[in-house]
Amino acid sequence: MASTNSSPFGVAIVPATGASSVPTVQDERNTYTLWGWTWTEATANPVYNQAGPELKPPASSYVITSPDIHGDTEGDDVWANLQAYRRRTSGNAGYLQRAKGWRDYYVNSFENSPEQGNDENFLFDHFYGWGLQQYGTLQGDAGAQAEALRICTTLHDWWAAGGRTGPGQTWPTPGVFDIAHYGHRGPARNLHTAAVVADATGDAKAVELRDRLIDLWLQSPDWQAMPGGMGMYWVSSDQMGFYNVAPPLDFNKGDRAVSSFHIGQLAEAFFACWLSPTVTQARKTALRAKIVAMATYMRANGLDPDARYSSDTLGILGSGGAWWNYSLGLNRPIPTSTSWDGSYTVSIVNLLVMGYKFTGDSTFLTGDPPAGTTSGPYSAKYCFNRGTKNVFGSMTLRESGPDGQTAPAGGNENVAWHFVDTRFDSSSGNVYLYNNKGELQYTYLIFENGGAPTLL
Amino acid sequence: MAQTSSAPFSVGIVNLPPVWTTVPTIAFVQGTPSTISIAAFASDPNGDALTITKNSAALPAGVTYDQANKRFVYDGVGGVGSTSGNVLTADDGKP
Repeated sequence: MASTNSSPFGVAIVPATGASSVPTVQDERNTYTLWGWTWTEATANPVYNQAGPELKPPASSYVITSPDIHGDTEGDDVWANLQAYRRRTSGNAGYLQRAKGWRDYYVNSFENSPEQGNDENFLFDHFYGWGLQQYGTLQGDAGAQAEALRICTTLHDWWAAGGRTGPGQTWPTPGVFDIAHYGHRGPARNLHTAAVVADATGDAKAVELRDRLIDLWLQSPDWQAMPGGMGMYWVSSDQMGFYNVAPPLDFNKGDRAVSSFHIGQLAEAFFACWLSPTVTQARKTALRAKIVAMATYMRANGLDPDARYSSDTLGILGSGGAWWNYSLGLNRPIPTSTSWDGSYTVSIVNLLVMGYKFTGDSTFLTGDPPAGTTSGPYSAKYCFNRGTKNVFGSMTLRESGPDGQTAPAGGNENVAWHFVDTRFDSSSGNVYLYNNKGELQYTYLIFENGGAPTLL
Repeated sequence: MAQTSSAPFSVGIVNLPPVWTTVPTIAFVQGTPSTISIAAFASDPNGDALTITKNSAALPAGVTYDQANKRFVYDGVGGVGSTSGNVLTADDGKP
């Protein structure tokens, strides 16, 4: 008889960590109750009862065709739709369809599509593997697991050949390599993928990539420790120039810049590593310290004190003080600016919750700025409220109705007008979650244990 | 021109052995009963149906191999653990 053996492989049961599950919609309801907020059940579940063809479940399937992975995605859409599905017990079939649609795209098309090569030209900064890995383990899908491992292996081999300094080189050197040079999201997403794949498979390349990227981050010269327990990774002078902040910033004079949602991505990656059962205690201790320092910075300086939104980019001035994009020069006074995007404010919610979980300091979690001032500290709940009710292009209008109605600020802010995975953006072709494709990915921790996250 | 013919012969199809792609670590999440199919990792160039058997390597407690359905099954009860050296054999039933 004609027969062939497979290569040897492992079989594992892995822990159900925070990296593989998020709080449920019931936790979200309980959180709003704890805060004294109101909502209507129609806004919570099921999302697909809402009007609008893009919000209804497809008739038979949801197929991803020719996505612009680098240009349009800003989160792991397998992960987002899988978690939206899993946090509900009903009204969730459409989410699973979408998760599978993205899973099918990655498993069947991504490797041989132009998208992989195109993103390689951008240093793999939109490469996602953790959602595929979790889809594989949670849905019992070996094909998804295999594609996650392939993506992780591709990243490993690229970094092992020098990363952005390669090919033909070797691993970058910790302490010398400025890993945040072109922004944080690429190496943060690479680390997140490696951490989740390593936990699920124990694959040697995944473990090596994870640990080497942790060390590159922990020892990066991009890190700046600041008074008051604050710290931040800043981008290079090159990248700061790309941000086109007006008037121009000057790296040589001590001006520094960071993207708020890049920090959100990095926090998720660091947290996944901290949760891993196989990361060394020394690395975990250092990761924890970095998370707390970044959270401390954002608690003090995350929002523009006038607009009370976090802009896409923000930072410090060498001459003293902090800045937020559009807060310098040309766009003052703020109400005249029409290009402000308050959605970035949600990007730092989970980071602030992590600050609470690691310290027990409740000012990371809840509370408003002191009476009579709009300066910090800015808590996770405050940023959540500001960000989820923002209106694109306006610093004065606020979301004020269940179907996205808006009204001038001053109305009732103690209402959840929508739940974090029930608004969508289909302007670029495929259906993505609302608010920079990320309300769920950046805020889920605040719902842990019904708004009372556990301390770590 | 003299013409010659070969002796009559029959055209047969050569039976090729099954082909495997790399099987990744099969991972289950503790506490979540689930199954993972391995059928997609083996194929037969002739399109023959395959029987897939597993060697005697131990599996983590709570995990079994379901030969009839070509899948691993986790009962959701077994604790965290892992085993290695698992090998599957694909047989097309033809010489």
